Amino acid sequence: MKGFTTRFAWSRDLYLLGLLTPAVAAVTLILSVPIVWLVRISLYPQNLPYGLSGWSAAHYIKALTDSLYFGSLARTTLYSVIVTVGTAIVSFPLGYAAARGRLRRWKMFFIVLPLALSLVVNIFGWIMILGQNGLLNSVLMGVHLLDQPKQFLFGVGTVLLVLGHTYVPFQILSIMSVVTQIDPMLEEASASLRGNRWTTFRRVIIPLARPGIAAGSTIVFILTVSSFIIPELIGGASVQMYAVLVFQQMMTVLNWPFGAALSLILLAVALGFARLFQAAARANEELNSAVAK
Amino acid sequence: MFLKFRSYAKHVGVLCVLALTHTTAFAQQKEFDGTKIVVNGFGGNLDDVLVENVSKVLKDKYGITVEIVPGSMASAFAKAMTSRSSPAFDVLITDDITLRSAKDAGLIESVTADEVPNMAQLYPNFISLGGYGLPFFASVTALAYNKDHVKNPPQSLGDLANPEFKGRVGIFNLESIGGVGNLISLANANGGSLNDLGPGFAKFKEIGPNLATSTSSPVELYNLLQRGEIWVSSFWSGRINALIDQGVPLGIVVPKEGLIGNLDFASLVKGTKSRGAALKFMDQIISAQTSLAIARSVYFGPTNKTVTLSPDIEKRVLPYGEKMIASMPVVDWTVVAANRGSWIERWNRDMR
Amino acid sequence: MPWQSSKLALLAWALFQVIAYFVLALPSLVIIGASFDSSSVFSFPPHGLTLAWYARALATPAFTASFVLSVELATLATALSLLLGTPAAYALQRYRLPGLQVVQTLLLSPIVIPAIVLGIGLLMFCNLVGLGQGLAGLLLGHFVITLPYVIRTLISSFSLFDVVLEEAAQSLRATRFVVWFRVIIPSIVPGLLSAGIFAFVTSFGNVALSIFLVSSDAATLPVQMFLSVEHSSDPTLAAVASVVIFITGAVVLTVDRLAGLQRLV
Repeated sequence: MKGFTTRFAWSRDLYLLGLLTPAVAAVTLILSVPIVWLVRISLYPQNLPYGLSGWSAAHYIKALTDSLYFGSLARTTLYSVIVTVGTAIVSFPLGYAAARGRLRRWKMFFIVLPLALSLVVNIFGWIMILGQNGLLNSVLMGVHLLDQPKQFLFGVGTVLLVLGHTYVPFQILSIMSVVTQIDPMLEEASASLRGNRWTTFRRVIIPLARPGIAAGSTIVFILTVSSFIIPELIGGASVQMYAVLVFQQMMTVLNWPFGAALSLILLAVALGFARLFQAAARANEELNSAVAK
Repeated sequence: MFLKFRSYAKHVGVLCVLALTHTTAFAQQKEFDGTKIVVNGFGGNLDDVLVENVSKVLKDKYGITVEIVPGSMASAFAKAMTSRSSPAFDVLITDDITLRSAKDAGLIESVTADEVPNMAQLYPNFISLGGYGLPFFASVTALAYNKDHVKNPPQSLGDLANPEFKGRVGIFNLESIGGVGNLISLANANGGSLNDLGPGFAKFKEIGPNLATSTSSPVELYNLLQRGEIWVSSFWSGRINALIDQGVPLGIVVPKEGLIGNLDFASLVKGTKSRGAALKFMDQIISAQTSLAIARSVYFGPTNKTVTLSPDIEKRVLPYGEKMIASMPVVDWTVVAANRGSWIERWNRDMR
Repeated sequence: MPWQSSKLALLAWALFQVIAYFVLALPSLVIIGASFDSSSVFSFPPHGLTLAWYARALATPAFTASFVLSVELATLATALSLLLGTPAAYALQRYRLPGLQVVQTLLLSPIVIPAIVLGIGLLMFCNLVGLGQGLAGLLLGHFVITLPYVIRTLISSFSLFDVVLEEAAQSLRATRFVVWFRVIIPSIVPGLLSAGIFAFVTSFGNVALSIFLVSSDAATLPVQMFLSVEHSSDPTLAAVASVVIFITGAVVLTVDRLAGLQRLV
């Protein structure tokens, strides 16, 4: 199934162009200045936002060899993979149940809730839940699981939890929207062939839902790898995710050239992973279009 | 009756005409009628104070409309940098470090006392870059401790390393200018100086294990202190007093290492199309009226010498008074601006 | 569900969902609780109940004006993204030409570019083009960061939509126009809904980019909230956040009801 091959073949390319051009033209136009500026400024030798001249790759070399930055990039990528995989695992059953089960409207409401909270307010909420004077400690001490309040805030675990919580709706909704498009008859067919639920999931549902998982994972990965407000406020001194360092260089130190180099490296990593997820989704395209409704 | 009405109407009509011509004549007296200037603001209470004491006054006296654009200082700087040909702001508000960056980037120009008469009323110690930036408030960080939980209040920044505060300390990191001030204080007090901050960094490393968190956000420290999540902090004195006003059981201590003043400045932007109006703005923002209002509402130190604070406000405001201001070390913020990048990197490596 | 399941399995399943949804809602619940707190300390559980903070929030022009602007902006950005993104996603999913991978990466890139960089770049762009500060820049920025979500979501939606149906319509001599509006769009409504929600929420809640693009007459709600926290920390903010939650909820429930009806038709 490779798209229109029959009737309108002669105007297919024009059609394709017509479909794509508005979006591509708009994005290219809007991004042109930022990207060109970003690339050029990353190649200046200076460490300032003014008085710039000359060419140098020094910032890239520093970004890739200095353990502070490279280490942060590696860690951030790892954290992002963890969050992406974690949210995918949790989201799949939830998304499926929300698509198929009852109370769909209300489930949607709960799923969208984390997205409705503004960042700063979200963080305040988590401080109220995880702090030493917070909800979790009160509950745990109330049932005598703890006799002293424990510090649940400020650490890698908390950052990953909050990031996951904030971005999991994207995964759930992605999966929900594709599962809705899978014909329930397929599941019934599988059941009638004596497949138990697990086999059906494994052989039928998951492969078909793969594009949804890929879409959700791409979004979650990108958001996590470039997040800086949540790690900055919930992470404390020890977490140092990459985008926090980018922010420091661009906004605090005003070292725009170096910040630009860091940004471009981040861009490359994030887009690289996005391509990976795309490829994983494509791998099942033929299966999908043959079987889906 | 009809005649009476006609004469009545005539009188009213005459009065109306008189009123109209009187107001228009009066309006024509306003020097900058219809002029608009744009300034970057802070958001929240401080903006309200500026609206009340600067914008309103300028509008009534000169017909100037002041637009305060909300945003962070860094985003304002970025906006100014990208709008040189048609400046986004007429007056730029900056702190010690951003001021120097703005000057070096060629964004601002110097003003004279002739153009801004109130300049003569400023504390000389606070005018650190000549006419390039006029300071309109001063703030310092002081030690805060929770009276309900802390038996031995810290007396110095170094005391934050006391094991009894473990997990309950929150401070600024070097992204905050308050954090930089702490570093300098610690270095100065432990055998170092602005050019040799090693002792300061060493002290921070000692404090490190006690930290619940270090952050650039005053909001976060405010919230954590308020909720009793942290019991000890080095925080803006004005905010500590605001918390005390709210009923949070905090004590405030001037650290033994001394106080470092952080100023906020108003600068004239190069290329502004409303120079005259902008100068009036700068004059008003450093006036005694505004200085007093800022001190009263957010407890920041007045930069205008002529301001006298009533006793109950005075005890909440730091820094205040000729003696105190003269005793505060003068920091060469140009050195800070040039080196902060490497200091932040060192902090990142040390505190991991 | 066509299977027989043990009661225990069903119970465990239900419990898992309840816990999951509770955790999803937890921060929101805490914030809503704090918004009614009569003490001015942002805390939970609340010490006493009051609506004062809501009154204060509604009386603050910074919040009410920016709320309206944020809604308008999000609606426009979402509409633009759906309009331009749907055909683009279709083309990217259906065709296998080599250059398209690059195009897809390009269209996805805005959300990877750090907001700071995008913000400064857009400021420069607006300056070059003479657009000045304010609504134009905000709209461009919000459009460009919502488009990737729309495209990514719709690509997955289209991949489940069988081409056979389109070809069948074509063989019945339907024009492309008809194929789109009678066959394609109705089948991807769940995808459009998801994409629309992502886009709207992303635009409405965006802080990092918007901080660069706001001006005195065009400021978005999240930016105002972010900045107000710098100098005043009372539950008014919780009230504002709670209002946003209530309205979001209402919108989601309504939209889903409408879309649900559509699917039955």
